[in-house]
Amino acid sequence: MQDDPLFGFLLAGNAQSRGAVGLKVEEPSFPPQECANTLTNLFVSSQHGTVVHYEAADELFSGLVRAVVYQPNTLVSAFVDEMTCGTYRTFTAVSSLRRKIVDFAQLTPNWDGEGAEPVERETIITGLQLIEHIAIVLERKNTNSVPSVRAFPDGSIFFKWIRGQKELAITVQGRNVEVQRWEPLDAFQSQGLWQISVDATSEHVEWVLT
Amino acid sequence: MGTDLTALGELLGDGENVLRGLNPAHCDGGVPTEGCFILKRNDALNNGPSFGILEPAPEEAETAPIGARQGICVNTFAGLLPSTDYGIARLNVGVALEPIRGRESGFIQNDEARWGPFSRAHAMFTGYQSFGNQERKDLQRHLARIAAKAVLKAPAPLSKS
Repeated sequence: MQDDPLFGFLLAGNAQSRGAVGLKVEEPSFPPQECANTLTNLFVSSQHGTVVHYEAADELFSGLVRAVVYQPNTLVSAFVDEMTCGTYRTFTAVSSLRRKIVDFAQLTPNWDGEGAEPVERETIITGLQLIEHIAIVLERKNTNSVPSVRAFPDGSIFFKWIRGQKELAITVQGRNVEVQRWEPLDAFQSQGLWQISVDATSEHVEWVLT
Repeated sequence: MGTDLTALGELLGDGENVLRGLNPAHCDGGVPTEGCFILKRNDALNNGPSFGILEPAPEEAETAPIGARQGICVNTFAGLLPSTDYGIARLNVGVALEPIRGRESGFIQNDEARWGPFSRAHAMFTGYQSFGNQERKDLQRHLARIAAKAVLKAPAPLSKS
């Protein structure tokens, strides 16, 4: 089974949809798969928990949607088992974060029974952009540590990340992003409060993961 | 610049304990988050987050005179919350205020008519409105952390709908 090539269709590389389900694998034995890197690699986890790595062997067409033939790459299978399980888990965790953010759009006024404000569309969009930055850092750091995320009664989205003695809090409201960091955890006073653009969040994510 | 809190009501002392209702929507795995203690700069001075004044054990009455005089027990407080799904956390006033000692912020007894015969067991937290953004958020986190250490009744898990 693992020697069979897989035929799939995937979206062209696009940083905004990185990690999105852009791949549809039409192979009878496999359900549609999510792809960690939509341009070159496919990781398929079997029911037994093993991960098989397929590389794009040939591009049949070019354009926005590409049809790709994947061939099993047996040479790197051992490496894949070690490394890509983590990648796949990271991808899954980021997808879960993304779903949570999208779900916040369903919150209606007074969603907490105490007058909470809904989460505005612009806040959702900024939150999703933030997740893309988080995903890039996670991939670079090869870690699957992810923040908790929740909606706050003032309509903001709050990301909280605790790792070791470091705590990172990111509050998103509209296009505004506020970052606070604490170290050690029992410190009352944060190291600072930064009002930054969403593109500048990677530095702080790096901090909590280092 | 400063706020005269005593003009708003009687200030609770360090020995008092207060009770906070925990909205399940703002808890995570039964633990209160900062969402339970949102402090806004534009909150009215006489309308800060709401607390119940805990009735102390008899031997603690000296250090908690307001609670001894007009406090409320946990079960009665639970009945005043919007729903039985709410959790309850206890906060010691001294511990809550320790990092902002000397600042014009504190817990103040003020009557809550909706609490009927227990109206005088109501307190609010106020004074933080004059704090900067960073310090206010530090304080939110601090309150959530100490509340998490003394959850007397866990909030019900949120139902997934």
